[in-house]
Amino acid sequence: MATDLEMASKLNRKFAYIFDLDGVIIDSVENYYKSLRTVFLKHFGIVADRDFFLQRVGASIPEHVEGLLAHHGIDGNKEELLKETSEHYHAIVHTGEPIVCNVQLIKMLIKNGTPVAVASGSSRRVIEICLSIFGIEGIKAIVSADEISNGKPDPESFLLAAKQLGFSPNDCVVVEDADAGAQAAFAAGMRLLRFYDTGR
Amino acid sequence: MATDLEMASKLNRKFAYIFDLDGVIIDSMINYYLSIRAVILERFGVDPDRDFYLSMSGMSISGQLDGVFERYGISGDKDELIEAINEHYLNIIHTGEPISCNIQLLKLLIKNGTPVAVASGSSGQVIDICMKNFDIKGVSAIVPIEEVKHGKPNPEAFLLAAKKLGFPPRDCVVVEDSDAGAQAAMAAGMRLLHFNDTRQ
Repeated sequence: MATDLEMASKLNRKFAYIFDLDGVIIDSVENYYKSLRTVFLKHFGIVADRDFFLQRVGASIPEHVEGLLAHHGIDGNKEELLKETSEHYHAIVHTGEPIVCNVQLIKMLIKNGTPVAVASGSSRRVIEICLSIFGIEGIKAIVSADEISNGKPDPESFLLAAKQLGFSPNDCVVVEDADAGAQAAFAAGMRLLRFYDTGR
Repeated sequence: MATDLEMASKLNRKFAYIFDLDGVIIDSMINYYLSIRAVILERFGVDPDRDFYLSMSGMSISGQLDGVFERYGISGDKDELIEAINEHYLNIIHTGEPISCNIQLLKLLIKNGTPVAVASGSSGQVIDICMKNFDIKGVSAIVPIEEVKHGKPNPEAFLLAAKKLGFPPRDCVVVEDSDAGAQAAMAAGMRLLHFNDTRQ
């Protein structure tokens, strides 16, 4: 029957998945704050505003550094602050808890042959550390802060991930937790599964 | 190493999934609107506003009827109206499009041995037809509207699904599209993947 074939063809359509890292694969919010706090305390003797930081979850380290400088009305050497924050975070990244249900989801998709990418505001080095400590192998594409000019909510990272996967945005499903990331997925014209870690 | 064992034990934690039906597995919103519209127009000569109806997405038909009654100052035998609406809907259900990415995800989870439930504001008959039309087999538990007193945003349907699956709420991941369903998942203390298909 034509309708059965049509249905089978619809149901067999191929999709690719693009996962955010922070808040989806690793619970890293506190560690990022700890690193920023340490560096700002050392350089300026001030405690970085935690609530302000939390409102901007999903931003990259450069965006956090820049945002906190402006928020506290201070002027500093951005390059140096960025470097020290990144170094501090690299040293503690492994203490971040895995978000197990999503780690399992990624592994299951990869095992099934579904193309999976990671697109994150973190550095490539941080992404690779997380994938390694959580035993995630077979990711087809990684888009880190190092490879893009405009972070989320700009769709650049998701569009680049789709391109590297060889899928049109229309056939990509994004798994994201943050507002900025959700906006980026919408702007990219992708389907979105927005993760809320409410089951503690 | 103790830490490796700890990580392995964390990563092997078992989760169950609970899928909503309408807007997650089947794109049924317009068909439900057409069915409610036809019945309300025939019985009361009132043409329910489409945007108003869509704002009640995710609620049971009973809850949606309460909304329509209140807005248009009408009232009637809800059980009888629900029967007429369901009858109308069953005649057009086959025109509802499958939401292929989520159906594939559901099938993959089942194939992977992950317990999956469907908890919906639709009737058991409607759920069964959708499962059959989209060739979904092996769902471990179904919670149709007949089995709950309070529809979403009340968490009752999700809590009953978790009970049937034998999983505590915190080990359940809900896949939902509507705001009412998202609220229900959070109230149930479950993890949530909030599906948004922004390309429509």
